[in-house]
Amino acid sequence: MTPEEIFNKLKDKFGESKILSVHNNESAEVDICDPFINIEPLAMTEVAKFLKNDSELAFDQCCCISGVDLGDDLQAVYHLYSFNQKHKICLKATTNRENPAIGTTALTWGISGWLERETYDMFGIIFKNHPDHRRILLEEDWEGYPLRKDYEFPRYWRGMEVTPEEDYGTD
Amino acid sequence: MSLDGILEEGVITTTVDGVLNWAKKSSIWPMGFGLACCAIEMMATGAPRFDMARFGCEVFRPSPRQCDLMIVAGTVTMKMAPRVKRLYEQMPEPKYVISMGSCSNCGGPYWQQGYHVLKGVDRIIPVDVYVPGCPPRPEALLEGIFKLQEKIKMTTIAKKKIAV
Repeated sequence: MTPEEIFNKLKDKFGESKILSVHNNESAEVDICDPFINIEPLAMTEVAKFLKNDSELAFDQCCCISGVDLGDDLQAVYHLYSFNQKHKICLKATTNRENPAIGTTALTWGISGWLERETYDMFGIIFKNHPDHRRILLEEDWEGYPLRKDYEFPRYWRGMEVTPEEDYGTD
Repeated sequence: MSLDGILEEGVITTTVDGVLNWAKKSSIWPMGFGLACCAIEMMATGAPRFDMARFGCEVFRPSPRQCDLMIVAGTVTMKMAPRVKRLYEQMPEPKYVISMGSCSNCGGPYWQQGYHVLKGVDRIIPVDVYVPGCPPRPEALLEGIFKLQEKIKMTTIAKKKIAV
């Protein structure tokens, strides 16, 4: 299926309030590698379930979940692939910076549990109803989310020097 | 009974320090413990082409309690640092540390932007020999082991271990 067909099928099922827009090379001013669909963040759980279980869509593989810091907003980007139908799509869910929350897809694809934990670890996006919502790479008591643009390196962590004094606060 | 002629019958004379240090330096058991790409070079050093066994330190042990030498081979992340310290504390005396590669010497390429990397393993445990390189070749690690052996040869039981 083409991105437009996937978009229309989702829009028919969930409505315009949850499936926001589709972008591909024809409609965009800038070059887009992967056509993508914008999804309302809290609707991700049900949309993901439908994408996997519908026989025409059959997205059985969640390849990657990435985080993006857009400045005012935070975004999670999902790359999906269907081994059965041999088609792929990219989903984007944009949430605000103050209270970032996206519905989890961990119960639909097993791997998204870990990918969402990494996105939480690095960007601080909360995935609602995630079964095991912890940091995955950094320690539990780490403060801040390192891949955010406004992250400031800590000077010490558990008594160990993280940033040497001469470099502290320089960048 | 006289000592005349006894030296010709295979008896040698030496000091206690000499024989103890010879025993220590000739069988340094390292810990089978790698943190990053330097560990690949460490494995190559243990394998037949470079063959650490020639110098008596081929017995990589899986437990810190059976080890004399900790080769810190790779990037020490902040999360790993408390574990490295714990492993060092579990080793019995006499114990030695070789810091292998730029990352564990000083943080290496993570010096400026690495919020997650300890800037040198010597901030948490004492280091005997630093091996520079990124990663060091097996020859360099062997050279580090020779330096450690020289250091062990200079120690004496009459005083504390030097510079630790």
